[in-house]
Amino acid sequence: MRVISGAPSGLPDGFFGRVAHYRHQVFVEQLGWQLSAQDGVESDQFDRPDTVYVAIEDHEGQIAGCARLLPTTRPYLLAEVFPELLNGLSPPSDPAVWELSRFAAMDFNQPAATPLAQFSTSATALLMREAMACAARCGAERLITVSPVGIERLIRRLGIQAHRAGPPMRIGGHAIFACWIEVQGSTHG
Amino acid sequence: MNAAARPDPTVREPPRLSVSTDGYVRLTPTAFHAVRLLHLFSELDPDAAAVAVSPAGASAATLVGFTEWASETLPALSLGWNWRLAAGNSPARYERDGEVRSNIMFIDANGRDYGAVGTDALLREAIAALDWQRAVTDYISNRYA
Repeated sequence: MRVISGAPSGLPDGFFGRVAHYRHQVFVEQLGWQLSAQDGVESDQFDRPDTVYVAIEDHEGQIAGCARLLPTTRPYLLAEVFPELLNGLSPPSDPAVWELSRFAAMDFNQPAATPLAQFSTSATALLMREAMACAARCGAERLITVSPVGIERLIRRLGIQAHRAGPPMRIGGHAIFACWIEVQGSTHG
Repeated sequence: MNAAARPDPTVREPPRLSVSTDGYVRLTPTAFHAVRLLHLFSELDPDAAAVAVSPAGASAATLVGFTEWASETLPALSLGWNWRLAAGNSPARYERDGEVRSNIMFIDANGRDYGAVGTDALLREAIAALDWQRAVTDYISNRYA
């Protein structure tokens, strides 16, 4: 697998469009999330020139996973849309805290994959490690993420230090929650 | 700690709580035991289907899932854990499976953290004393009937 990361200006031509299409396949078509989408592409107001993307390609060059990193010093998903998931804590605004969102590692080359199999094991581990390493290079010491509750089990299964920010909530029929992920000490090895 | 289905008349006033900047709610085990937990929801986990195999080679499907509980305090305490329901047992019984996921960090009387491992151990004991199986049984039965 090949890992590609960076802000849009540093990505290969057309790469963001492929990531946005993959996101549409995962979040809109498979998981049924009500997201801003058009012509098979999913993107929102947080897909900006300063947004950092991490994606993996399989051996056939197909996108097999993606993640989005946003600095909390600028508008980000949790603070703008889901602040109630922080359990009363003010949304962080700290250069050492970045947000991880739109994380998915669904392998469409696996015909038996279920809609809930958002995270295929090997791709998930690779993508999570790369996202954390990329965040560390951006100065992050911690990540905060808005995710389906299932990602908490997965993150901890990978041996990554993480804990929830508060109770999950059902929003749009989906159970989501906010989760803190420690970057320092988790990016080595 | 008291299950929602069986309120304890001896329960004390809930402690004053706050969220630390690292996202944890810190409290002593004693304060935790004064908090009432409510069942939020439970779900099956179709991606973690398991098959139990007996020594004789027979297998039985095992239902697996997770359950979420929270306090009514502000900020809320949040706990979730996986469960499994082995069809081979009679009567079938939900059993906690693995670690407890929470936003809780226990502290001692001097305000020192127990740490993740110490906190998890105490939360496992607390869950063992909580009548959570009945709530999960009812919820799963209604949701997936």
